[in-house]
Amino acid sequence: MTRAIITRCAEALIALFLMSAAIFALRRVTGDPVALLLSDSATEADRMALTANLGLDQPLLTQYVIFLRDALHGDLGRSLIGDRQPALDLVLSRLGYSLQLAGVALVFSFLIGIPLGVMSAVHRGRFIDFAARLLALIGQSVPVFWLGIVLIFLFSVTLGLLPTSGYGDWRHFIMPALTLGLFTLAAITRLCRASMLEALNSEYVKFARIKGVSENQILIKHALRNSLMPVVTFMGTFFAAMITGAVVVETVFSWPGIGRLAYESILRRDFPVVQATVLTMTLLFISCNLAVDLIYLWLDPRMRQGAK
Amino acid sequence: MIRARPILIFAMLIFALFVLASIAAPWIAPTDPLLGSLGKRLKPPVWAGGTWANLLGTDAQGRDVLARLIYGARISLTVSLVAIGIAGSIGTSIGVIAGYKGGWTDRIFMRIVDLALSIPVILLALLFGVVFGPSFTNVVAVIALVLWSQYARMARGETLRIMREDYIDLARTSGLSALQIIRRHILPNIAGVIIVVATLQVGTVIVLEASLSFLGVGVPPPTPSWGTMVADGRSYLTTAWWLCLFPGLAIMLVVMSVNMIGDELTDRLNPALRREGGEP
Amino acid sequence: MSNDIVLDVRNLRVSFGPEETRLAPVDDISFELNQGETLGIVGESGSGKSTLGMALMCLAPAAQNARIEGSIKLQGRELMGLSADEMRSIRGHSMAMILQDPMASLNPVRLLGDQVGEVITAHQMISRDSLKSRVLKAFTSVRIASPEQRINAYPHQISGGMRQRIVGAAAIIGQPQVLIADEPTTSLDVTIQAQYLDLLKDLQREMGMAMIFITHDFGVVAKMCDRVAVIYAGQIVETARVRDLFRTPRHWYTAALIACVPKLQGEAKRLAAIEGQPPRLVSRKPDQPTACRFAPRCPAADKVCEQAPPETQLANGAMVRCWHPREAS
Repeated sequence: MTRAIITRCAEALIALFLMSAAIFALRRVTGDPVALLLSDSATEADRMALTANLGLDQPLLTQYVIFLRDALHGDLGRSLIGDRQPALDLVLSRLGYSLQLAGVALVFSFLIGIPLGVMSAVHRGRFIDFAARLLALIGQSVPVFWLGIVLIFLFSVTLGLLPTSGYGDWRHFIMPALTLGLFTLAAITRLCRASMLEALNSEYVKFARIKGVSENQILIKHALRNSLMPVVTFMGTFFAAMITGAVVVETVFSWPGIGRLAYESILRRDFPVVQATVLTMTLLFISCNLAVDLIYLWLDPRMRQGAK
Repeated sequence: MIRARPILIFAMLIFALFVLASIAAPWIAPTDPLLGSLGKRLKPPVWAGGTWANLLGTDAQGRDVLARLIYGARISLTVSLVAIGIAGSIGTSIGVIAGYKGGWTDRIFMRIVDLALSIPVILLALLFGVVFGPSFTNVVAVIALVLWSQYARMARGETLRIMREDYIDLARTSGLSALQIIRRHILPNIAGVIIVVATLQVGTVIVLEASLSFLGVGVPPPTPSWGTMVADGRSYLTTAWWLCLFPGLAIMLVVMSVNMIGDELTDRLNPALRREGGEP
Repeated sequence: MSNDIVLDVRNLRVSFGPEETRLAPVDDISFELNQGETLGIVGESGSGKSTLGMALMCLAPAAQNARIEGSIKLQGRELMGLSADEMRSIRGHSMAMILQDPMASLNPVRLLGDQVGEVITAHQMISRDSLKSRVLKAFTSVRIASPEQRINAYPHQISGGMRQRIVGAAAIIGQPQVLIADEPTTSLDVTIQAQYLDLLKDLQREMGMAMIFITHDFGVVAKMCDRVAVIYAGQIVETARVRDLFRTPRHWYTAALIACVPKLQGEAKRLAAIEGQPPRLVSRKPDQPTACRFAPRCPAADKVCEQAPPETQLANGAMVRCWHPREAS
């Protein structure tokens, strides 16, 4: 098991490293940041000075090594725009908002998705099953950006119940969290239903009935835990969906998180900030996957011994 | 088993309509999707006070929404087919090779798959889009990059399963080369599963393409993409709701129908869940 | 051997599906089980014998509109029509059952001790200590070495034979009067099979249980059972004492089945196979008496076999359901 954990951590590091290299490489392909920064009246001397200042006169590899060294010290460069804030500070100042939103969305999707999936399986073929499956189907099919716009149109523009966009009190959370969480909610419902059905049809549930265990106990002690394992396995995927969704949802709802920051800085070609956001998101994503693996080890005793 | 059959037929109808629209767009679209007319800007759909000339209204440049929807279907379908084709062939090849060879090849390939899964690809897509400029090729490349690893996983698992069958041993002992075994025995056997994965992914691709276009890094304007149409319509949300509503609805309906068809295929292929109780 | 009847089953029928085309994998089965006796239920796969086992526990198959009808009396007490809770308190305690696949019968993510102790905790409040001692006792009685460690192990950590014994422990911890064993040894190695059968026999003697042994294996029948009921297409076609059945099978189907068993002594004869396929499930039209279900495959069949065959009672409590029973030698 220790070995499995070490392998996972090493993989995480390699992924991070590759991502940084990819970003660095892409940065070289894009337009000259110096030209972007200088005013039209700048002289050639100004130009040289700025190039040297940004370290752009060094060989590529040296630049990359410097970039890595700085990154390890928490220095990811400064924004090319505005008052040139350190990129990492900018990202960290936005990170909290994104985590809040993703957290609310994740809790919302779990609190509704798991019971819905379980009920759907237990009352298979009844109305609740039909409703849950329909909801799951819609949730997996509706494009996130459009859902956000429709919600804004309905609840803000037409009914005037909720604020259109931005960060604020709990009412500001409702629509973005709903939009961000719906896909995950749908996925959880489906997974939970499928694995619950499988568990309910298993021999050990049959044997539990033979042993005289009540249906409620069977649900709690036998079926639920087994059916939650696939949900845990897919947590990484859910989190990926949240990050993907965050860029879109935060853009639609003007949420001041890193998703919107990433989007805006990409459009402005503010590469140090892009680097910082992408690396932060990758780090988040990878650590979540790592956490998922650890939870899985804890849930499934077969995995604990490291035997496959 | 209780199964809403009529709904499945409805899904297949929607999907057929979608395919038909994309193939026959030039003949069935009421007008040129790119041709605007400033005199006809922001006309509402016919039932909301518009005219029959523009059934679903017009956009800010006076272009017919219905025509753009029909041509948008074409973009969605083309991107899906090309991206899934590329991702499917690359992923399947890698998966089959990994499964067939085993050992180090397998380990290295599967590590790469793990890595591919642990990178938030939407950000890469955005980067690509900005760096190389939005283009059709770009969209397809990025989406293929997102999708290939799933095929690799699936193909590897299935290959490993088939490798345990007796007829593979028989093929080996009768002197077939690796390539022949893969072509004659493995590929035909995993095709079903791969096709189901591909079907299930059509929905994902349509949404992904639309999302990229919505964010401005997809298929570049003026080509009518459903995602771009929603993005353009956003600014007119309060005055011209139809601009956002129809392309979004189109995406949702098509993706829903594709998902339903994919689920049905999965069920057919994996009857494990239907078997219970010895139903006839 | 006393002749107190522990279990009296009358006209048991399990059916499912829509009313017009109901299928009955168990159709009109009656038998009785005496104190301490072992009754073998023998049939091909798909003959309805496993469904019968579950039905005796009042568990219907997980199919649409599934229904159990008839009468099951456990020591004179009618089980049909009991409430779900009353029936639950019978399961695991008065009647227990062992399923064929020991790996699948045990939940992979729960401790062995918990899965055995569940039989007790499902019905009564009990202190942790006395629960533990009962579980340990059950583990010991199925010959589990170092039970203290095993109760805190998971199914994947122990061998297949031991898993099957754990399943046995769960079956006997409630001290049942009737134990139903559904092909309990099919998934085990041959050497372990014999051990397990011995263990079941010992347990039966120690606890005075009656057993119903569902199997397709006449070797197991010969080793374990006092009486046998041969089941074909959901119906009992012949009941007899084991020795009588082997010596003079009265039903043509039984004879064919026994002929299929490879004999160790004697000339190596080609394995006799029974021609044709058994009808998988038989749909019953209640008003219309059905033909003999074995007739299409039977060497002795003639016109009269299109009528429902009579149940003929024979000496020693034997029964045969046939128009033309084979001669007693």
